Amino acid sequence: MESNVDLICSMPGECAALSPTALIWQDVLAQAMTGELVAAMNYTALAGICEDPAEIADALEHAQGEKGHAAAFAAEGRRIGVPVPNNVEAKHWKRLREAFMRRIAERDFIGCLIVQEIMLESFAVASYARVGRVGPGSLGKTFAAIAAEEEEHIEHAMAILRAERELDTPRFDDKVWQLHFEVMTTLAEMLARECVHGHCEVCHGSCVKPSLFGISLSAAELRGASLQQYLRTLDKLGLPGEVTLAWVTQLPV
Amino acid sequence: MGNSVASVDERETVDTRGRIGNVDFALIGHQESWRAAADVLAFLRGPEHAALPEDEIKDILPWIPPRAVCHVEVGSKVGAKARGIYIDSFIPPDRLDSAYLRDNVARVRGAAQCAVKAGARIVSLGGFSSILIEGNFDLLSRKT
Repeated sequence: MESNVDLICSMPGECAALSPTALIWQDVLAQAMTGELVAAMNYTALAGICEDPAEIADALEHAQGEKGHAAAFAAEGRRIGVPVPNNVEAKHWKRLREAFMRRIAERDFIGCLIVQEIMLESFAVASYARVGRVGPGSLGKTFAAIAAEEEEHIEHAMAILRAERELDTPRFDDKVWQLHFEVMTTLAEMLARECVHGHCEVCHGSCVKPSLFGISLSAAELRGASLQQYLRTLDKLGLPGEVTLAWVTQLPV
Repeated sequence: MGNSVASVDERETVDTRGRIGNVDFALIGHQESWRAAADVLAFLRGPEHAALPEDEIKDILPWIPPRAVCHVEVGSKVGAKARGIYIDSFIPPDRLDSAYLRDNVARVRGAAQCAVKAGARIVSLGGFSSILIEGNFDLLSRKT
């Protein structure tokens, strides 16, 4: 949180030169950068429970890729004149990280993939793609390009997860269901139209969601697109659509 | 629905394991009012969850991809039974006009894909879906 404090006041002279939407973008970039750093930490932890050297190398490569994404978001912030803070200890991100680490503690490789690739990456792909459409210049291109890269991650994991589901479908679906309530409940609270449980500890001032209309976005759009992507990913995995829809409708709003 | 020949099999909608077994028929439809859409979502949420506020429903429903919502079993007087699914295209009730034609056709096509995936041998389009397709069933065949 330290890096968030007094961000605006510490550079009053520079604020005058900022675009009117720069501080909105700062928060959008901060959320994205935090998510990428959490993903990098998750993949690094995943490498620690892999036994196959190829899987270890794959996880570490993904971790490096996520760090690269975080760096790209930081660079976009500099380009528009704002520093991009991050806070992997912020309450929602911390809960997501803890859910992932519980899977690590159980050496549950498949559970880790479900949390990171199916849930967190669905959220990233959908929201980055929407941001990519409205982001000006290189900022929009960066979000769109990273969305495409994250989608490739999902495709890579899908083959592993489909094969796992084939082995024992009821067991696999029960695992997804349990992780859904653990992880997607937190994501749904993050994506709710308003942060009713207090400050998210990533935005630099008040909640950025009401200001998103200033960059032609809305929290409702990001939530809708993310849940749609999540449902489609579960469809591709083969889970019954009526079951997953019921799960999604039961999430907090 | 005790004396009816058709019933909604609620057990199927709450079974987290679900099933994608072949069905005999599929019914494709959509909700014509936000009240009706709210009822569908309330059914899916289950009685233990409070109903969603209407503004949240209006935010969420347009993003739901077409999919089966419930299973239906129909019996004849001589005891034959047919199993079907109701597939909602989730066309938002306020997007039925021509401005949304492309999106709505895509939704009906997505619903048809769900019917194909479920193995339905007979698919029934609702009144609006039929008009939307206007007999051009090629519109349904893409990607199926």
